Amino acid sequence: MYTPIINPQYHSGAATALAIALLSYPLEARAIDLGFGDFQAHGFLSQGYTYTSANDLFGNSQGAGSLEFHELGMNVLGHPFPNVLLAVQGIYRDTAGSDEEDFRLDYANVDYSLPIGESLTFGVRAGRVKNPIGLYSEARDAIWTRPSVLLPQSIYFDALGLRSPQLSSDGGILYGRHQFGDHAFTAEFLVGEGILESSRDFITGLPGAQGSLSGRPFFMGRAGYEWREGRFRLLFTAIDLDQDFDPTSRGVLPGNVKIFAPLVSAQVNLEEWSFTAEYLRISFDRTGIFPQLPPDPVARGFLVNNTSESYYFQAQYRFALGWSALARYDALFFNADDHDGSATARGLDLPRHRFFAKDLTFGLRWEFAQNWLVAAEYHNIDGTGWLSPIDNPGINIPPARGVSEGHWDLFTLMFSYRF
Amino acid sequence: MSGFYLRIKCVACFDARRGRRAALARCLLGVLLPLLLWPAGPASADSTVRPYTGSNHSNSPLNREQLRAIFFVRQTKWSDGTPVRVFVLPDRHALHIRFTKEVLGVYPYQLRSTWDRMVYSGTGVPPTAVQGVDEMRSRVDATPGGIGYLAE
Repeated sequence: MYTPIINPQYHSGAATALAIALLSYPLEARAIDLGFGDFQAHGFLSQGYTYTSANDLFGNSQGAGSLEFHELGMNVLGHPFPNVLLAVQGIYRDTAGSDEEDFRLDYANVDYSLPIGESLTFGVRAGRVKNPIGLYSEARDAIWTRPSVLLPQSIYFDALGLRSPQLSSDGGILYGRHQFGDHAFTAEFLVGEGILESSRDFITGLPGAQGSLSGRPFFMGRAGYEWREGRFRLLFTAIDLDQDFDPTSRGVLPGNVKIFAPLVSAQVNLEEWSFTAEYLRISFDRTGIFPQLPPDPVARGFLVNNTSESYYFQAQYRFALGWSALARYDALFFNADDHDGSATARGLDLPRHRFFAKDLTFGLRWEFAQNWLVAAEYHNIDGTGWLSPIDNPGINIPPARGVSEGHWDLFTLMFSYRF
Repeated sequence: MSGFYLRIKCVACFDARRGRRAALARCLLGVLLPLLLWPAGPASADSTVRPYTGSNHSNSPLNREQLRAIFFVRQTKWSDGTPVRVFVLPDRHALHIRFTKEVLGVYPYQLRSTWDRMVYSGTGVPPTAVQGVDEMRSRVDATPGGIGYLAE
């Protein structure tokens, strides 16, 4: 009598207690309190799984899928004096061919802020600083601050060489904030040396060309308006880069590249719904570099003086405690004047799908315990514009000589823990 | 790869062990705290949630704008120069949700996303998380320049 009745109850009771305790009211501390002032240490650890029906993203993602998507970060931050902030973060990230940098210093900056009266604050931040770009750039490698496993790839490139220069710079930021009632105006201005090494192919427009980039520091500015701490948010970002290219590859000419990129961002945050949209154009102006240019005027224009266009619309729905769903349409057109890529592809003898990517995404996210989350996403994609040629060596084979798939599906899952 | 999985496993084991040890206490807390915070009686339902600065720091009443500057951690020192130290309850704690909505006039996820952005971009220090009302009171009382919130 004693054993069969009490024991199962005890066991299921303990299991239930454990489950309730872990899932409904976890008592873990959020951060490590370092014991002096407000200094804290935080970290995160994320593991992704990527499956694609065709083409490869983050490793060999076809067939059984790829687990080559790790993001680990650790940071320490605190105020030695109330107006002075010290912060440093290291990140280990690996996404196969598109990110082999492994460990990197993500930020290491000192920040001094000076309040003027009640409503105005000015500040300066120096060191390795995060680039102020749009809504998601600064904290993008922690899934906790991005809406989905993959950010909209038309703007926040993860597989292309343009990723690194978007992240951090060595330099300084001047910033200001004017707050009155529910309204706030914000502005940031960055002067810095970009991390351009991995994006040389993209900047020169001539894949494989070796050489060095130099020139004045680049400028980046972001200004915005915010209502009620971000219930509504409008941001304008502009990036301005001017680099000279000094080639070491034979046959490549010295040259200059100017890049200007304006970005508009808007977000509405309601209790259960968030709506977000961003629009980006990147203009290239290249002189020299190319030993010879294609005869086709569209192809020549694409290499010498081209503007791309990117945008997305996104809806998030927080339908239950800890749960949210996402729907997004994200589009990238490398030639803003040739959305379907046909004229550019013909002139350069490349597959048409390399010049755009239209991605329809549905996602689900569950924070199943404090500081634990799992997120899953399905992408239906037309075009391969933002795929890495390193992960997809056959992708640039001219249409006459090979088969490459422009329509593909992507499924991705990520599991993350943080403290 | 295997090293990575090992680490995941260790974290999980560690968690489960700790969880089992404190399971009963946690369960009781998990059940009792919400009951304490959401009682049926009209007296407590009428209770107001207020910022709490403890006994060691006297301030003139703070308006909503000042409270937002403090809880979104933009204001880092008091007028007398003491550093501001903010304490908050967990995101899903009923009192946290009430304070955020009723006093600050924002949604809890707005605070969370602002704090997370600061942490992962190196631009600010988020508040210190405490696990319950008693810890809130004791930490604020023990910390010069401390501020949190309590129900009265």
